[in-house]
Amino acid sequence: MEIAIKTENLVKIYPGKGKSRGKPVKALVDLNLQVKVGDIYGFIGPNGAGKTTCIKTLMGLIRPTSGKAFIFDMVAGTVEAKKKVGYLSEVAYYYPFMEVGKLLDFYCSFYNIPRAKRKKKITEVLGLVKLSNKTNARMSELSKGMMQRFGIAQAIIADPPLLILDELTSGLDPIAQKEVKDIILDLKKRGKTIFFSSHVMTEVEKICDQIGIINQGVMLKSAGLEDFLKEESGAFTRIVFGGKPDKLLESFKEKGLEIDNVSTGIFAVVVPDNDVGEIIDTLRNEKGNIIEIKPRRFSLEDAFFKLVKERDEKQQKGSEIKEKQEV
Amino acid sequence: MSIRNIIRIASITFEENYRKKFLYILLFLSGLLMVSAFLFDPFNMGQQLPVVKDICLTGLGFFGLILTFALFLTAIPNEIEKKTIYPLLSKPINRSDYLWGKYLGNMAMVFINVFVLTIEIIFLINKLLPADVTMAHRMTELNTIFWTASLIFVECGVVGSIIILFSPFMSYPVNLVLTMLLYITGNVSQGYINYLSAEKLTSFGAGLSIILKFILPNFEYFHIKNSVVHSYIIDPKYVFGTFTYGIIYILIVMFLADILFQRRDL
Repeated sequence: MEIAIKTENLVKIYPGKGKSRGKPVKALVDLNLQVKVGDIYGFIGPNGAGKTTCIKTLMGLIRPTSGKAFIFDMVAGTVEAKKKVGYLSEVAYYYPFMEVGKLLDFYCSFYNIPRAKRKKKITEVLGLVKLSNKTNARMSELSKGMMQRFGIAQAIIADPPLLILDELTSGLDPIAQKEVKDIILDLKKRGKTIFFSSHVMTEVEKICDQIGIINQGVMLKSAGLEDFLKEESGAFTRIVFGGKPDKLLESFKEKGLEIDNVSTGIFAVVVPDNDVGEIIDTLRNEKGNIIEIKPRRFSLEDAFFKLVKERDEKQQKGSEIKEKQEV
Repeated sequence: MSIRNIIRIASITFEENYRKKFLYILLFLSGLLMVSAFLFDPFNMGQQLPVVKDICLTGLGFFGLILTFALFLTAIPNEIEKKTIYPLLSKPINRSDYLWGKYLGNMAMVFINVFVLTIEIIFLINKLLPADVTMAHRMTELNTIFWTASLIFVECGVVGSIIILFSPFMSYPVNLVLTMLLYITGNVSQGYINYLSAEKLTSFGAGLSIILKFILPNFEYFHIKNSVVHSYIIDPKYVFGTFTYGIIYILIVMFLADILFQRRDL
């Protein structure tokens, strides 16, 4: 199994800001991460979780306080490692006075690609991101969506095997978001490894094979998307039913099950897989109308909130115990 | 470091600069000042050549400095603030390539502007020299103008490198004040420092003054204007020595700037 990105106990501590030189901020705490070649890895977390810090460290824009980061087994941030990566920053700005084609040629020139080949590549890449008709336009004339697509173009111009994209679709309208998503899926078909950060869960769920969840600089989970959702969803089944529910509801409440009112006269209950038979029997006996029986599956958003909530509760408990011990 | 990468970054820096309209206004005003010195003959009291030389060379030095501050102060902080540095530094280049590219791109702009004004001054002085002056004398006069301009250019290079040294860590105003302070200190303090080290007030004071003497740039070396104005003979060895001093100083400051910039989180 070839590894595209690997971090070992990555730590980044920013000195406190402001006049008082406040407390140092731990942006990354012993972050261990592995991204396999050929995967689309979604790096998710709330704002300020440490996603951008991690990505900047991988690109050598930030020096880690301790720990190591590697790109294809080369130390991250070195010239050799950067040859293998295409990068799109969170808020991408480009020289506004330059023309699209000329600026791409400028970025491409750092890879020592002959001029004739560069021309061909620029035409190809601009076609891929649907900016062919903007080759001679100034950067300042591009819309935000076009600018983001240009960002992808400059990241893939040298055909690197790995793409690192920070907040890929932030600030884009739904059409532009879809266009960018399609480009990413196309790149995946071309065999690229893609590592991107986002806080748009639906977007991540649609295109990722692997996910990493980070909060307050700590990696909460790193796993395959399907495995993660299965694990978080647990062995539960969702049963939707109707009919005359009064008795049923009462009996379910007695069993401690949570009942969800789907619509008028239609309810849903989530039960452990082992109890499904018993619940179905009850429904039949009480002449309930079974509408749907389905294994429960969390969306990524649900799973994410569950994980973050559990983590926060754990932390709170920990600090309460600490406080008590101090008292 | 890669020379190719440095040239690429220098080229784009130069391209960015030549679109700045204020540079042309500055160049035009400086040119106008020099021509006006030539035109106001009645105020020169028969001393037109030295007065024109004085005004032109002072103007050239002043213009060079203003231009250097205008270009260098914003060069790197603007790229960091506007985040245009990210896509660039994510390409397979070293930070050293970037730093040198920025420096040389800006210096290319300073060079062209100083060169244009120097040509204008040489043209004016050539016009003012009496027709009966020998060719050798004429050439010496014009050569000294060229040497003065060369040293002004190197002086701008030293100032530029100092601004680059501070710019990744300081806001424009702080950088401006600090560099100005160093410039002024480098212009007036050498005599004072020499006096202090000779006096041996205390061993600490003397030591400190010797260290300062070597650390602070001695901008006085670059100022040969007064000798040129009064048509004194200028030793080419002095010009070459000062030129070398400036280049070595720039290399050392840029080396330090590189070390600091490597550590800067972006």
